[in-house]
Amino acid sequence: MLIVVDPASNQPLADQVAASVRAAVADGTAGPGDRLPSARSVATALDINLHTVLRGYQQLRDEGLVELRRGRAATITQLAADRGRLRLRDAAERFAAAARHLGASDDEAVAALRTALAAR
Amino acid sequence: MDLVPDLAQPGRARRLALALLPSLVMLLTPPILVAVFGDRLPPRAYTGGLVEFAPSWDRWKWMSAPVAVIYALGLAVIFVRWWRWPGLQRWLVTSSFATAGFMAGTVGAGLGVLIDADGPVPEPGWMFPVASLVALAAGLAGWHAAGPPPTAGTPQDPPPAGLPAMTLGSQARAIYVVSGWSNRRLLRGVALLAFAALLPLMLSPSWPTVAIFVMIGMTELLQARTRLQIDGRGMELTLPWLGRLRRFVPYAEIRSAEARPSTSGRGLGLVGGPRGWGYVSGPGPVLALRLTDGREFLYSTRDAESAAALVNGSLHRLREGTTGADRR
Repeated sequence: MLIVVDPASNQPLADQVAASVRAAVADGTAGPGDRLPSARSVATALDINLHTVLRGYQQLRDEGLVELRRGRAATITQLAADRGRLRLRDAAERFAAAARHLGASDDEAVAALRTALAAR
Repeated sequence: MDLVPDLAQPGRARRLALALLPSLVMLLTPPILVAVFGDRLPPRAYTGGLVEFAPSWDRWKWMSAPVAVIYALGLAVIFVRWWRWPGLQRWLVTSSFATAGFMAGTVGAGLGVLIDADGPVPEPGWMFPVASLVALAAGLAGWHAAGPPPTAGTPQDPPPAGLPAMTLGSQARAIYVVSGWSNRRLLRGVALLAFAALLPLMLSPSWPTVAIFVMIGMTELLQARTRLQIDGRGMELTLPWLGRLRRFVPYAEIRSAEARPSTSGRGLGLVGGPRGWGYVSGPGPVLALRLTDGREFLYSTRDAESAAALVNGSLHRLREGTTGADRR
């Protein structure tokens, strides 16, 4: 599983950790039952705070994508089998990141999306 | 055409000669000792074994010749098998010197106590420690004589174009973690342990034979689970069941990475062979790292493409100062 963070990005680091896991599930490189790397090893390798990684993992737990148990490795749940929904969310996140990068307002971004959807 | 440089070439002939030289010492030590001290020795060679079966000195001095010849042939075969692995060749020279040193120490001490003796002399207690010290000294001499293995130096060139490479921002950091599981190794380990358990029932082997099968079986079994981590420092392979034994390869020792649809896992492992090292657990995508020693690191992972892209992206950033986006 690949986890990438960029401190230069506007997106919070915990969100970036969660988005990496989501992307791995969406593209099928991680599936139900797979273990996430320990928060400590991720924090050390990425040189970020342990609690930041844990916040990212907790986001995934709140979405039902990951099961967290004390003293055990975090594992991806059966919900991850619904890859269509995750792909859509992943694409939306990439669209949102591009909109922010371009300096578009929320209304402009939503309008652009509506236009694109209407054209299909 | 062979695109991988033969890094072991400098000094290889010398390392081969040094690896084989001790066999000559093993061969010639007894006849030389007999030639020098022959007139001060008892009529028969009372060196170990039963006194009544002690051979004549003429026969004794060539008794170790077959062992020396087989040892030399074995060393030559191992050396040729790992023709492109200078680090292992240095260890071969070291072990060859140590073995010859031990043999020369044992033979020398065994014959030395018989000088000016009229008959058999009990084996002195200091013989084994002295032979071990001689072996240690000879091993050290061999290690220094072989010299440090040639190194390729840190590659300056980025990975070739056409290989997957991730776009990494100048401050971006990434970690790739995957665990592997090899049913083949697990089954092999279980089969060897079962064989070791049944061996005493079928035959009556000595305990070292059973112990060897148990050891090999356990080693196979405990390598069934592996963990690969790629981060900003390089690549690290861990064997969680084998005491978290790990092997780390920094980016300075990696030329490039690629993903292959599948490859054979034959001859691989934590040490591996001339082809490379790593763990291929069956059919499916394999991450292949081309290393500076001319070998490869191979590892089964269904996301080999992402792993290869991360390695190449990191290499581009380190060697070109580019982030991937610049390459477009």
